[in-house]
Amino acid sequence: MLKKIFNMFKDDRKYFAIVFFILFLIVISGIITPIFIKEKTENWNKELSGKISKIEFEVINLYKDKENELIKTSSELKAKLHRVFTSKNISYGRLIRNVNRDLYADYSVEVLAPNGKLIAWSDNVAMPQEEVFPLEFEIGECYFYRAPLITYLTVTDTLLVDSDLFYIITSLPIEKHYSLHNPYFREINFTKEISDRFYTTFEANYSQSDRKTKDGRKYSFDLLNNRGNKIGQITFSKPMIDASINELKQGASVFQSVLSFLAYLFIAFGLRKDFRDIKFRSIKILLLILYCSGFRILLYYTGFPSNILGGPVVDPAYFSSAFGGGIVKSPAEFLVTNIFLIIISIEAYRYVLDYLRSRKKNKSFAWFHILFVAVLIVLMLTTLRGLSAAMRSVIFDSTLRYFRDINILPDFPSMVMNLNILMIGTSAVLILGSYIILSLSFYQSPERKKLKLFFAYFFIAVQAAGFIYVLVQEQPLISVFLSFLFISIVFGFAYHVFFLKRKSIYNYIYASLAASFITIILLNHFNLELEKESLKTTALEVNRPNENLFRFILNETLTNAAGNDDLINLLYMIKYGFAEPYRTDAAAFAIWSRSSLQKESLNSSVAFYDSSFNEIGEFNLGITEAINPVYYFKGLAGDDEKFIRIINSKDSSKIDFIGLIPVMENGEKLGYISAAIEFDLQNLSSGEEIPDFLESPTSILNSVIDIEQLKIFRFTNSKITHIYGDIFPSRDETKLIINAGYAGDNETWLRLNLNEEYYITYSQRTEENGNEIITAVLLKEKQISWNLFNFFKLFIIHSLFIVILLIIFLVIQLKYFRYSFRAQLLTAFLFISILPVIILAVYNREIVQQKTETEIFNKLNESSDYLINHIHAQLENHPQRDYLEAFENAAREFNTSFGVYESSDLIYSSKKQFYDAGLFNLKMNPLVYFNLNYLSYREILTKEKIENLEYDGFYKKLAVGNRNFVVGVNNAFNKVNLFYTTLDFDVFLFGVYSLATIVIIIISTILANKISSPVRRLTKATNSVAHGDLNVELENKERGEMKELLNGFNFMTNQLQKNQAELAEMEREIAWKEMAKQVAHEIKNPLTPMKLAVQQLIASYKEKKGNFDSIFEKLSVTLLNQIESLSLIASEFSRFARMPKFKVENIDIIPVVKDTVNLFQDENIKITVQHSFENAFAEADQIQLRRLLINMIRNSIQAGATSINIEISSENDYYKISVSDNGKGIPEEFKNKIFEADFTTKEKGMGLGLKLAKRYLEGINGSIKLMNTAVKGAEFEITIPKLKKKESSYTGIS
Amino acid sequence: MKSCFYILSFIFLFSSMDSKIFSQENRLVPKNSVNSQRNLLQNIFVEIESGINSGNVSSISGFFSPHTYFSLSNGTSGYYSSNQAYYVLEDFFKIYQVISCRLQNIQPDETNPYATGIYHYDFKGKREKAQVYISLKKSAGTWKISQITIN
Repeated sequence: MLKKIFNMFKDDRKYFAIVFFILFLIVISGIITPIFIKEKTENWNKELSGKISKIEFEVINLYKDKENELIKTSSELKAKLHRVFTSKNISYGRLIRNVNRDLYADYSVEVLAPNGKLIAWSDNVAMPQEEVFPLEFEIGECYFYRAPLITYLTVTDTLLVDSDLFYIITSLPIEKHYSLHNPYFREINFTKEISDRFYTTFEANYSQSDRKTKDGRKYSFDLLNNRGNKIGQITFSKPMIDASINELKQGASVFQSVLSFLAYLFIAFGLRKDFRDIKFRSIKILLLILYCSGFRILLYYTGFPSNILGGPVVDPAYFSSAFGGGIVKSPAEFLVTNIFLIIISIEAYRYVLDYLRSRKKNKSFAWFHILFVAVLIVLMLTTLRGLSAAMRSVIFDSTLRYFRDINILPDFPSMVMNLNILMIGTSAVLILGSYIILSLSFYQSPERKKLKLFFAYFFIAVQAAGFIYVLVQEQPLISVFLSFLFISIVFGFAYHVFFLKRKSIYNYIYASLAASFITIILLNHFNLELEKESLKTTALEVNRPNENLFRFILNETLTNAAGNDDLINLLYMIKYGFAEPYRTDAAAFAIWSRSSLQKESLNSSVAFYDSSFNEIGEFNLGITEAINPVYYFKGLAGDDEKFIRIINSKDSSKIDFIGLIPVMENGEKLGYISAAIEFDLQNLSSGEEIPDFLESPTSILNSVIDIEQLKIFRFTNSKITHIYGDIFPSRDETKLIINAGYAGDNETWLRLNLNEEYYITYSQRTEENGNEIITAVLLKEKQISWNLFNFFKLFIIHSLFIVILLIIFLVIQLKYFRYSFRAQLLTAFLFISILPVIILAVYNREIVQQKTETEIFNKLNESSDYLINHIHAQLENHPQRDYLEAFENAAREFNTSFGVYESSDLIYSSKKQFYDAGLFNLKMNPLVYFNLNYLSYREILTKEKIENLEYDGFYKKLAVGNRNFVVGVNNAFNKVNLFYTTLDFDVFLFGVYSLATIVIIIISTILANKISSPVRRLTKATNSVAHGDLNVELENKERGEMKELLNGFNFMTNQLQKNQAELAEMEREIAWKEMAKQVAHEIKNPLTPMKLAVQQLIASYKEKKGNFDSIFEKLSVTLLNQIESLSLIASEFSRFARMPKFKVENIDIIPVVKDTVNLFQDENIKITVQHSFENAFAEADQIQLRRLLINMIRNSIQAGATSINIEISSENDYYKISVSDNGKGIPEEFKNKIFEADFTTKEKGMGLGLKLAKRYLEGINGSIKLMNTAVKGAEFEITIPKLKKKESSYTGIS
Repeated sequence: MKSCFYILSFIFLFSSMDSKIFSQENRLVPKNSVNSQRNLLQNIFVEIESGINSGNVSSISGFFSPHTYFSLSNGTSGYYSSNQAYYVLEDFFKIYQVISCRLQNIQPDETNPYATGIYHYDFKGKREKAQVYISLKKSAGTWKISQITIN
């Protein structure tokens, strides 16, 4: 019984054993999980304390890691500075450079002199000089320092040099107390780090004094520093049993889903042989589709792999579609679906090729074939529409903006989506190509010309069908032109496969390239649609301020702020005199940054007031007129009431919203918070220009197109009232907009020409308070360089994937790879062409970058000159004027943001709110300070950074009276408009040079092919000669040495042939002579005694001897003996003249035939070999067989044939080789003579070829005969007996 | 014979799966009210509130417009298509598990309907609340959600 069971699991069936085992494991896991859950529930309290201890231990370790890192850095720095101070060449420059090394970029470093003065500092200064002393902690002891916006982990160390004691303060930022919604924000948040890690809520208090929580649901523990002193406290919500059980269930679910995946996979292995044995290809492909679909559904239901992966690849924000019930609900799910699609499409493609190979030739085009082809055309068009719909979804159902992001290298979600796009495109191209090849396979003609003609007709038919298909649709996804283009590309691919290289593995590369072209064009097309849609959204949004939304935002901001513990503590401490007021500006900024005010990039402000309505802190961004809530809300009743009001400004384009809420703690009013929003039609994107590091890219108006690219015109009763952008429409353009035909929805699309540039325009007509309002939103049509950039930006990414695929193919085919002459030429051409292009591109970019820097320098220098001159002029004309007032006037006059430093401290800034908020240092950039004060530079341009935004800062000295200042301007606040930026050049470079590279590759390939072609032909011909075919003659259209070489080769083979013939003739003659001599000699021997005997007989008769009778008898015997001797000689010679035996051995006919066919690869003839089995073993002479085939192929070529078909089949005990061609055929009168010796219809030739072939085949019990054919050409049938001892194996089609 | 058995097994396996997997999601179609527009809007907000309360995105997915603006506590912010909106909200409800949602202030104004309220949720074992703002706009003759804010 057991043996029977074991026998069931042999060969592929062994995989079922694994499947059963996996199913068993799934069942077991389903049984065990509830047991674990029950055990967990019963032992929860014990486990909970263990978990709490573990979390505490790990959090402390995380903290200790940071502490150790800080201490180590501080020690290293100390050692370096010690060397600086004690070296002979002590210099301030060395000190500054050491403190500002890249190694310490994440730290704040301050070096104080023995007198407490700050002498060296890094870009970030954590602790102001005045707060350092008295030291609150011991030297070398770590502690938390709370700066306005960031909490640092700090350590103070000392450095004794001679008798001077220097102080080194090293600080590592631990937690930012603000958050910005933009790509430049650099998150540093220890609380969030541990919350995410342990999946529970943490609160961190970085002060020594906090008491542990009394909330039973939470747990607190102290953070101790390196000296064992408490410096902070961590509180976290205790893990809940529900969460723990969910975690266990999820783990079990993941485990089961992995097992299900494996089980389903092993089922396929187990059924592999059965699958291969299925004869009908259509059934095979259907089963494959079913299997893949089932597998995909199983993966979806088990949540695999989304339940294992995390991050942006499973985030539906990046891409999500409801198609198929969720099988493409995220980039990762899309990728899994694409993997199955690719498998199905590759198998379908292979099956079609296999069908093509095995289809009987000369089958006519039947009526049902026509029907089938019609169905295939419909399927083709549907598939194309499906691909278009998929690409539309990729654009519309995603927040990824493939063409908006100017970075050439995409982020990870974009890379995954690009891979998805390429895969789905490749699947579509393979499927479409398969449809075309299948349709072509129904028309099998041996004449290539007819086949190409059919291909052309089919192409036209499909194009016509595509044209009609687009026209009849109510909402076509693509235009007629795009339909034409895509069908052409796919037909191009199908042509290559069908007519040129059917079996090449590199066809998949071509399919991917075609897919890349098609998908990128589609993406570009739909992206334009999306941009046009966004013009509509913009028009809607700018038409009116969203009053309700703004009320909500204010309400949300105020409510959240009033409940903020940090803020409550701060107001409490200010009320009772414990905290410095300057921190309130930072707190206001922190509140603003975390609210929707920042997320929506609104002109807004947040302010704090004490209980008497005195302002104590504020952050304002973009609100031009001060809004005093005191004016609106003072005296209103209620301590806990929130108030929001709308104030209409005198300027009709502005509306203000203001709100106020009291801050209460245990019934005590600590103060008030107010928030305000200003809606200004004139400045839509972000009011008074919000710097990039504060602007949110996901505000309503910025989501698809950068609003700064738009121009907006607003008309009230046909008069232009508002303009956003830098273009003023002319009267004609205004009329065009006003008089445009507005459809039922009161909207229209136009194409306007403004300043000789074309703009896509969306215009909407509405009514407001009895006035007709027209809002026109314009977007410039993309220039060609941007279109090229768009195309190549994605194409380069697709190419990366295609190159990876190519490398995989090359590795697979490594044993077949030859570094041929063509490959060497191609490599040389590419190296010579592309290298200079790259060098030129890099060089040009460097030049442009330098020029850009120079231009930035000039612009900033110009700005600072204007400011300095204005300040000078003011102070000369008004000597009593305060410096600060002079600075303020200059800022207002030139609308330029700048700062002024005296010594190293900031004394004035036109962007005071950012400095007050703590976003920027009040100390000058240390390297700038060094260069201006120690190296006596007059001015300097330097790179600076805030968050992850890099910008340029320009500093110039200003001497006024006996005071020395430094004026600093930068392009973080003052946007420098360059004529041609590095980015513009990158766009040009990338687009145009990519195109140039592709052109170079194409031309190099063509040239390499052309140059190496005669060498390849020569190589093949030499190979043929080596195999005995001296009839090879190379067509010679070359020039120069190549022409001479080919001529020489032809002459050589010709001469070889002649010499061979002459040699054979001579050898024959010699052999005959020798034989004749031998015969003469042998015959002479018996002839002499015969002559003597006859002479003796005559003499005896004449002499009438008495014993004549006995003499006669004796001599008769002698004569007969000699005649016998002669007869024997004749027999021997006859046997000698027989032909030598053949060298018969066991051979496989199929490779011999194929190798012989390969000899004619470069000749102008198409030879196909068909066989429906892998091997054909027979007993034959390989060389003779090869010669026979060469001879027959050569005959066909000489008969004018352009294609030869060799079909190997099996019939009973014989293999049949049928050789048919489309040459001029054999005339009827010659058909009986072709196997005769010395018969030939050719000018050259001895007429022995077929004769020898027949002789050879008959010698091995085979045969050759000329068949009667109805079509033009000749057909020979050769039979060779099968090998009797070894069976030829039939493996079927794989 | 074996082949037939396996073919049948595949077919059985395949058909036993949820057959609606290849059909579009069963979207909730808003009811046409015989009452005034205000009542209609009121009902729509109540339906949305109920859907959020149950954490069932399917019941409100029918109200998503082609471009719905989301601003959620998990950092999600921006315009999403109706397809994306479904899964974005589904993911949000998984992390910020709803305890209750109440739209206290419903303004079924025909020109600018909106509702605000409070969303109580469980986040990593901690109970918190957030402000909810939902606005509607008319698109192709039906009321669709233009914005959802839960912060």
